[in-house]
Amino acid sequence: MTAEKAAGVALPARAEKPYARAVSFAKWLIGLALVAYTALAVVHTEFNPLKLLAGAASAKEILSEIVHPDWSVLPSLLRLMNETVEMALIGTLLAIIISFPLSFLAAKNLMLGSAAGRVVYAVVRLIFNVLRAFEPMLLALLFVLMVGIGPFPGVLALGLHSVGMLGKLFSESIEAIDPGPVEAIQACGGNRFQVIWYGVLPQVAPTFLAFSIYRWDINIRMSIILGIVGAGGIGYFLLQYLSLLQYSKVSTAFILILIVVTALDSASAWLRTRLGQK
Amino acid sequence: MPRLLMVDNLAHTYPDGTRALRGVSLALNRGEILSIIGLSGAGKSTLLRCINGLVRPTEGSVEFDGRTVDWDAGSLRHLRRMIAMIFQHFNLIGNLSVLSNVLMGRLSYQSCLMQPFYSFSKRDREIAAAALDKIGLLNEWDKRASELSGGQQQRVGVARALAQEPRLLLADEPVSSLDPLTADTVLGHFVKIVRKEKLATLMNLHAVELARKYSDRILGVREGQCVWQGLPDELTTAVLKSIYGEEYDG
Repeated sequence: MTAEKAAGVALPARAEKPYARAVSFAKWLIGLALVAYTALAVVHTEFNPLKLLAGAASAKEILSEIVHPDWSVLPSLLRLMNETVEMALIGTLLAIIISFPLSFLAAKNLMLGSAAGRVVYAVVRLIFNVLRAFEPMLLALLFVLMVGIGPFPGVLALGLHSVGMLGKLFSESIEAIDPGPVEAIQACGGNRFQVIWYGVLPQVAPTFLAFSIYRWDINIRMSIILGIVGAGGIGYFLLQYLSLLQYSKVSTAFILILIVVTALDSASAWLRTRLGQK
Repeated sequence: MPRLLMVDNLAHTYPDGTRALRGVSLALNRGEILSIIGLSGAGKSTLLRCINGLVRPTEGSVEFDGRTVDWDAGSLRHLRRMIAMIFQHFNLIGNLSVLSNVLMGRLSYQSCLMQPFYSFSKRDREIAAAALDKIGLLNEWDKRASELSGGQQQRVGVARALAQEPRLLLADEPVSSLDPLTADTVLGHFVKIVRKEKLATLMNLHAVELARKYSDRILGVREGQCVWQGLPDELTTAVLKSIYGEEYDG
């Protein structure tokens, strides 16, 4: 056997594409435009590292307060942190209760069989998309105006936004199921409810649970911020003491947030891995 | 032997224009095992699915136990209660226990109030346990279905079908996703139970040898049409060539 024999097969020449020159020219133009836009953006955002260095000197006073957290506010902070976690819990539960039944109506594999089904599918999908498009912060602003300052508008904002997120995730996991068991339930003489409850649900339940836990986790972090627009929880405290320039109290809040968020984050990650392994 | 199933001139064309079945007729007696052989894509699966209405025939009729089958949802559910099916890929729900999977065979008997709660009557659970006992997996009843081996999973599929207390069994390539040795064991066990309970069985088989060994009668399907019918002994090489094409060299 000679080396030539082992050399194998040469790839056939690539087919000459029409407009190859025009296309490569256009690519160059697009690249150039991107670079130019980035340069402009640096100017517009007044990006200037020197300014940061100059500011660092005046931040010295703030820093000295921050390294001395004021622990006297801890009891009220704990109460507010608890409120934040509760807001996230109720908001997430609200979202689960609404998006769970809706997600079956937004799953292609269950709905595209009939004309009426296709209409329902499109409508529910649209609702999910619209809800997702509104950031919880914007929704919270709206609900504070409607129902007043406090945790309730925060719950509504988190809940509504999460309906869009969970609805999309739930319906996509329904679309990814194995159709085999569904066919088996039909062949056993199961009715429409049984087909979904026994053929679809057991396949998606662990995923649904994992997504819900993850959503609660995200909502805790979001609800911290929501307080800034008056929607309850620890964010409201942060805003108040920042504007009163009481940085040692702000510092205590930061430490607490860091601990709670990290702890819940790893707890939710651990739980989700357990679900994935099952 | 009285007739159980009459299939008359059944045809099915899929929405994409594929003519999977082009007029197949067959008859099945009570307690008889009829195997359908043919190339993949010859229409064997479609034929079985037309009998329990998983696929709606575009032409022809099915008569079960002396009554012509209606294709509305209510009558279909009633029909499927009497006709159990076994699938090539088992179609178990891996997340659920072996017992829960077998209980699926009792779904059409489950009362409305119990449906949301995965709850079954004592009688249903006893029937499911008896089915598990027949296929020799009673001790594995609380294992998750996905933890079982392929052969065991198909035995659970058989138990689910038996739990329906059916009058007809449809088996769509029941052992073709198992290795040859396991396939023979599982099918042998299955046929033994079927014989004992005198259950009429219609099965698609890929392996000619298994069809010869376990059927009362064999039907050859080619390009959506029945091209041969006869006894296992009559299945000569010439016949096989007519079913599988001239290239057949079994």
